[in-house]
Amino acid sequence: MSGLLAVVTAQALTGGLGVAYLAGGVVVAGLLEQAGRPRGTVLGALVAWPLLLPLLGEAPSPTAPALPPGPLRGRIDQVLGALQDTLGDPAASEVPWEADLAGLRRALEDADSRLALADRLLADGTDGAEEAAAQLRAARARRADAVRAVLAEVQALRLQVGMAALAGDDDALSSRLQELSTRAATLSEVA
Amino acid sequence: MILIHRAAELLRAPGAMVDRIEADASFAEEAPRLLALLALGALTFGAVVGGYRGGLQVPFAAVKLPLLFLVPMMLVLPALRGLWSLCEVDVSYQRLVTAGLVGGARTALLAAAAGPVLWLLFGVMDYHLAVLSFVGVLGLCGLPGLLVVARAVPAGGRSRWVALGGSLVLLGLASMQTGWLLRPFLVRPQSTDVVLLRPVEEDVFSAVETTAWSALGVYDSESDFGRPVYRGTR
Amino acid sequence: MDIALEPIPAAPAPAADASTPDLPPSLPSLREVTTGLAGLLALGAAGAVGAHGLTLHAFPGALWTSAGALVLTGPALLVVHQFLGLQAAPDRVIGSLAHALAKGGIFALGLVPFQLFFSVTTTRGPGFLALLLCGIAGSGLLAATRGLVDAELHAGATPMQRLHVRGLAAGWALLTLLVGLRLGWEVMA
Repeated sequence: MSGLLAVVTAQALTGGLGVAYLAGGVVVAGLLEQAGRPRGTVLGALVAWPLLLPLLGEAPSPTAPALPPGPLRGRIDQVLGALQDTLGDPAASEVPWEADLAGLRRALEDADSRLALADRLLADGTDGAEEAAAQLRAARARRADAVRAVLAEVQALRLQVGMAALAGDDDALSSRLQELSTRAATLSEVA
Repeated sequence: MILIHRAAELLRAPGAMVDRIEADASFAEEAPRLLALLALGALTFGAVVGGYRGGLQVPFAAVKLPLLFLVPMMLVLPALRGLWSLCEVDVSYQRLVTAGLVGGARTALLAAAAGPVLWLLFGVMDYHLAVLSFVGVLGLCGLPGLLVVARAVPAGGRSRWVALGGSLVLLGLASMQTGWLLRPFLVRPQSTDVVLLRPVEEDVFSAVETTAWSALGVYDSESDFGRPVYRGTR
Repeated sequence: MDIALEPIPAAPAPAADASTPDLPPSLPSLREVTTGLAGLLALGAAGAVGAHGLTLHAFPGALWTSAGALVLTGPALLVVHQFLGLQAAPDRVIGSLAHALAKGGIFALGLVPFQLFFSVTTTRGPGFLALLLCGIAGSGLLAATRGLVDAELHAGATPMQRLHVRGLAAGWALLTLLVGLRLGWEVMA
């Protein structure tokens, strides 16, 4: 009995298998995109989709919606990124800092996105509500100053990490980080 | 920056990393990072290997090395869950894939770290020794990666060694044929024929058979009994 | 005068061996069995794809040799098991075989990419199919014999019965392997 594909060469079959593989990657990537998976996962599926098949069966874990960036987002990223690098240094403190830093970042980004909302509202025009607009501008300025003050103290905290590494005073560092995190959380409250 | 943290984690405590990803249910976020680390390490190592000849062989080998790591994994991992289940060990496919990616990325990074040493050796070695060194480095760096997968499988199972042996055999066969299909990686410096992939002809087992006969000093002639019989020596 | 005959108290059954693992459900679910059978069929299909004169009847070959061997030797196992007066319930005996078939089939399903890769890129597809089937058979028979022995130990077998069930399991596994090889030879011929 003749072979199923006896006239097809190994070369053509290998090429066909490759094309079928790429097609599978496109399909799986599309399904992951629809399921709301991260962009990196979707791109990875194009190349290595057999390894990402388990994700098709499960729902994505609920995550907080991304906050729209405000006028201070770049500064926040720069300052917190530098602090993260410093805390992540093997010679730095052994105090667990990831959770506090994550909380600090969330609070600052939340305050920053509220500044962005205020800016959009002010840009839309006041339409006769001059007094309300003036109040909004004043509140916006106070909030932005508060965020900048917290960022300045975060920068000072980097130097304190060095002091703690030399003096071995992890407790003071830990309490300072928590204090800053708490203070940043109050930025979201009504002034 | 997060890639550097992940690289440190999988080099220092890969087993804990597999457990963490499973406990956090963060496979969707971590999988592309692990793929990226695997690709970066393999690309770097591939560039070093291609540098033996230089020129176009550098990017050619660099592009193919990540596939040499990934393709056998993709061929074998689907079967491992069934094999281990038959041997009384229940492990999820997602955990196997996580361990495979962590182990693969670990191997790739270690191979990339061995790149400078290999490059120095290439400067004084002839072609055959260079090939053996390439294979030797891959084998040495592959062991820590394989251990990650072996340790990720839960304890227990009276037929555990059967599953372990079967897994190694399947991975070995898949890696051999994948390497054959993706050849050449190392090309002689004087070679003018630089191609991305050679035509699909024969298979790695035929090549090994031919090499074994050649090592015995017996070279080709026509066949008897439908099988090549090598007559004559050089 | 009535003579009341006291019933002779039955000898207490030996306690179940505490060192044996817990038993799975006596029979696998329909989904598991269906997936296993589909896996064997898919593996055969992967072995049949390719050039260089591969035969179409390799397509059901994996299912034919695996399930066929179990179907042909299973009744004999059950008969001898009962003939020897062993303790495990018949549904546990059948369940051991069914679990092994289902899990072996799921293993076969996982091997489909592997088999397809070699079928397409080499001329050794049938050879690899035969090797993989031997591997599936070996690990499946190992699981089945362990299941048979575990079922007997859980039912509280005496030392003699433990010896009998181990001998029966080993003999049945050898018979099944030979029958499977014979069926496989007919498929490939």
